[in-house]
Amino acid sequence: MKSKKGAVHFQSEGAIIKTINRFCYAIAISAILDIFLYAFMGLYAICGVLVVVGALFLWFIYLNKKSHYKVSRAAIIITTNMGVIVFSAFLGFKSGIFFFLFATPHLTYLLYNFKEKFSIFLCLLSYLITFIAIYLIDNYQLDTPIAISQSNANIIYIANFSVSLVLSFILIAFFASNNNTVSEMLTDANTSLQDKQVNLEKEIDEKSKINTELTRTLREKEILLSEIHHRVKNNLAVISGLIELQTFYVKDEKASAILKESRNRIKSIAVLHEKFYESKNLEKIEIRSYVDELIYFIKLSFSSLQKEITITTQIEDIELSMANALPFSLLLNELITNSYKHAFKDKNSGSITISFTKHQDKLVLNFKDDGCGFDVSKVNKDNSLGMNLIEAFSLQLKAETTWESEPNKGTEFTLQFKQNLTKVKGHVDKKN
Amino acid sequence: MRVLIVEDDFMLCLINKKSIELIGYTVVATVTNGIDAIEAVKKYKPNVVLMDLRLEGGLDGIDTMNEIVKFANIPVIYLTANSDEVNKERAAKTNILGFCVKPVHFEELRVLFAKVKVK
Repeated sequence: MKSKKGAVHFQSEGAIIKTINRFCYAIAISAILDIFLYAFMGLYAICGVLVVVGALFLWFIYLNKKSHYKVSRAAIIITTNMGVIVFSAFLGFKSGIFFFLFATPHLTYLLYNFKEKFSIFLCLLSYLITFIAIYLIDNYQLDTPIAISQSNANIIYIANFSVSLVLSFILIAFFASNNNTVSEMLTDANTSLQDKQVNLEKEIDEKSKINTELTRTLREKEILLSEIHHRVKNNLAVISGLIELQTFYVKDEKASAILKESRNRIKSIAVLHEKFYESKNLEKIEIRSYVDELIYFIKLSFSSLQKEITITTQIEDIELSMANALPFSLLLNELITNSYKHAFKDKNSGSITISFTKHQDKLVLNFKDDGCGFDVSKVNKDNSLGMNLIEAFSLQLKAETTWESEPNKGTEFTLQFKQNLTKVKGHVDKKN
Repeated sequence: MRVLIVEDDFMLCLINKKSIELIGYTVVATVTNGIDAIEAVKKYKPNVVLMDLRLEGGLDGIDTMNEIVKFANIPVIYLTANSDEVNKERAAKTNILGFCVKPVHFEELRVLFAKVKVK
């Protein structure tokens, strides 16, 4: 499609169909008028041919309406060529029927797109061949099949000349009108596109501003979160530090142990907090590295006891939500602390095994030590904060728990709970 | 052994200083930002630095140690749980003794300080 206004020749399918219809109606009307003319002259054979031509063009309109415009178009080209040859053969070259051929270039341009160059070439060539054919027929034909008086021949000549001239003008007008319509359509489309482009640019600009604003808000949120995290972490560190300092000034061993336990509980929460802040989504934490960290500082806090306690872990790659991670971590802290405090009080070495695995929709914590064990039925919960806390955290997790312990045979604790936000990838065995 | 504490929280500075002194080490200075930390290292020549990752001013703990390591290869204990690959890579040129999560317990410090060879 060329953009230069007035030089555009673009025919849409609809425009071609419309042109075919108009042309066919024009030919059919001309044929009816001609029938009267030739009937007046007594040329009934020509009238018969004209009836056939008129009917054919009406059929082309029907074909057109059935969406066979290409067939219709080809039929028009063939029929006009054949029509000119037949009429020339009947009435002779001098009847002026060849004048119609001068209108054919405009007709061709109206029936075809500029891109259909080969079809246009074939079409024009066919009209040229027709012109040569009727000239040769006239040259080699001794006499026309139908005898026409000179006065009638003059009338036919003038009629053909006039009608073909009018037809040419009509087609030229069509051609110009179509081109103007296409140009107007293109101008309208261009204007519409420009409007759309302006609107789109405005929209992009607005979106860009919103994006900038969102990025700024997100950055502010991140800074705020980082600041809150930093303050929480430092406040926990201050509380823990103050408790730790207190332990240096307490002479009573029991009081010192209580302070250390409290300090460890704070550390359990602080490490958990840190892990959550580290995690990318702030919703879940990967529990294995947390347990390793927990074991490390609990072991260190009991290092003064100088006992060889081996802690073996088998932790699957499980992620816990904050709601579950906090009671879980404090519960594990109590279990390990209890073992250190009570299970190995008469031994210099021992072992603890911790496994945390997923079984179907349940997470199972199994904690085992080979310490002195205890009679579960005789544990007085009123006197044991550790046992109370374990029970409370189990309740918070909505977990099922079992204790198996006998004096001198170690202790085994199992905890099972459900969590929706869990993900299992694999597991790692580790000895601490 | 001489310890330099770099911590942006003043109260934590005091608590850590007291804890470290109570377990038998000397705290040569407590500072709250990277620039002061660099100056303190030049001035007091500590044997080990207890470095918080987040500090006042433009330099964070790792940036500060990267500056310090240019003139003194002092062992450092970073106070963060975030010992991920990014931080490890950033701190690769520094003499890392360990990464600790706040609140750091004196038992942890004892273990880490024991690794420092005092000249």
